[in-house]
Amino acid sequence: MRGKVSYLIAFIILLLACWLAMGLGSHQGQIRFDAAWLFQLDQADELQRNVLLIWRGPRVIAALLVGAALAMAGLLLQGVTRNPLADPYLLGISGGAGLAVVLFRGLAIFQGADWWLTPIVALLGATLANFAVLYLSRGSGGRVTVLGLILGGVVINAFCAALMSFMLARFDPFHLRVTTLWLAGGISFAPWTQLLVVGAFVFAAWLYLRMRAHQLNAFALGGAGAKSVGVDSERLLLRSALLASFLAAIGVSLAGLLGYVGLIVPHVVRLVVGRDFRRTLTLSAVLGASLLLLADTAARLAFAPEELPVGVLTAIMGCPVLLILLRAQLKGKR
Amino acid sequence: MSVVPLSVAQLAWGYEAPLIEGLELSLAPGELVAIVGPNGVGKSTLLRTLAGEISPLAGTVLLQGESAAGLSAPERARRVAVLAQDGRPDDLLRVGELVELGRTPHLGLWGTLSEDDRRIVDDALNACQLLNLRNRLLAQVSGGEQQRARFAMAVAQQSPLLLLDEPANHLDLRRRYELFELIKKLREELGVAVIAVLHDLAEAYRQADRVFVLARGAAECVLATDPNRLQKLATAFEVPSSRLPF
Repeated sequence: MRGKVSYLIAFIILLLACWLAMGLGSHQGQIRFDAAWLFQLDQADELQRNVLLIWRGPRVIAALLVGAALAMAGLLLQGVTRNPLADPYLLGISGGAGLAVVLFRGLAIFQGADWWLTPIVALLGATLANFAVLYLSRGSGGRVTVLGLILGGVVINAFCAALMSFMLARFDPFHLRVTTLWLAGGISFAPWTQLLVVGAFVFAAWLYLRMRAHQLNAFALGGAGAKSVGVDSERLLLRSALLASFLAAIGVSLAGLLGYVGLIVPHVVRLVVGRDFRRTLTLSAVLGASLLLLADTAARLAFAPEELPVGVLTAIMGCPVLLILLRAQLKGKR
Repeated sequence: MSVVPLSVAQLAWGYEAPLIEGLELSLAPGELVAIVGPNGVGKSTLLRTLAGEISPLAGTVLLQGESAAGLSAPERARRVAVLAQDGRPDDLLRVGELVELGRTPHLGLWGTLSEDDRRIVDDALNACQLLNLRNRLLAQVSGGEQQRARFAMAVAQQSPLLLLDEPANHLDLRRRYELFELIKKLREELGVAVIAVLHDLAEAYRQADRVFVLARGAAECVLATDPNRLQKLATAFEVPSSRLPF
């Protein structure tokens, strides 16, 4: 019952977030969104159509996909490492993806093939960073430790930031500004084709994780314990790490370095419905999508017509959550 | 004809070099074999090998007539359940959630618990007297209650073979008695075969049909009626037989 009510509330929040994001903007005086209006696009004028279908529509979809991807990546990492502080941004996975993209753009190979190559490059960077941090954070008995994870993330982030600064120093002023804004985290323009491809991948990732949800639950027993209830924990851990990198890379390629969505959302969801992946997965995806869309709408409106990078807002929301969690962890486990 | 839950031939186990070689063991349904021996001799490693968690260095382990190495992870878990000595489930798991995890190898694609699964979980909780604790976090229950919850999870797995590594750890006298009564019930009513690593030698002889005494480099089966058992135990534990606790 609690689960069904939670789903209902999550979907209402999602619809509300979409309605606000489509209806509000620096042109809100002229563009009023009405659900029925979507079905009468023929009668809309050029300006309305352009704003809603070319600018706001793709941006809404991009925010939803990135939010869902980052929340699922955080949930997955927290589950398999048995560590509530795991998040693609804190662990340096997003940093690795960002560095790979900056290197790729800086070296200016394959100009024009950007929209489909960027995610691949980001995935490579994310995967390398993910395996590096998981390797660095292993304590005795191969178990991932809180301290190891945080310090591993700090090292990887510092390394990526240093290399990115080096590359950015070589960019011309225009590319420097574009890339800096992208790194600060912002939903950028994305063509419908890219959104369709990314949407299919995010859905496929959700489907795979949903089918593995009961096995992911077994990670609460530790690697050996999961094996004893019939879960091939080593294989699933490897696939989960790859999938988390993949989801983080999707986030980075569409929205730059966006932190804390993967940290905040799974925690809120677990507080409400418990730790069962079969429930938390879908709820995290829906609420992650809603949170990022609301944050992006706020970022668009706060200083309109100027835009605030949405990464600034997610960091402002996420830092207190991180501090509270870190304090609880250090108190509980010394 | 009932299927033999476990059959072991010429087994050598260990991590790099074998701890013990040449173990022969066949378990009938409902039988309990206790394993005793000094610390570090390889008792837990033997259980982990029998469970398919680590590969044997030589020999074969057959679960219901099929090689454990050739079985998929869920198929293996349907044939053998393990209560490990050092299992540390997440403290933030609830007792009921932990026991539900025992049903993992039986679940379908979407991992939904059927009515039958729920009944089996309830029965396991009830048998271990945990029904009133099902919504409590593991962090909020005692060490003994955690141990019972882990045992209930292994019971909910409904495998014909149960491997228990020091199952009476953290349990007071009454709970220890109840645990062995429950094991007896599982053996007699459901024909579950059990291998248990036990520290209490008297308990091992009281509960088990056979006792395997492991010494450095050797394994020997001892029956409770064997006149030489004290000498064998004394040799295994490297103490004078007069100092043995029974």
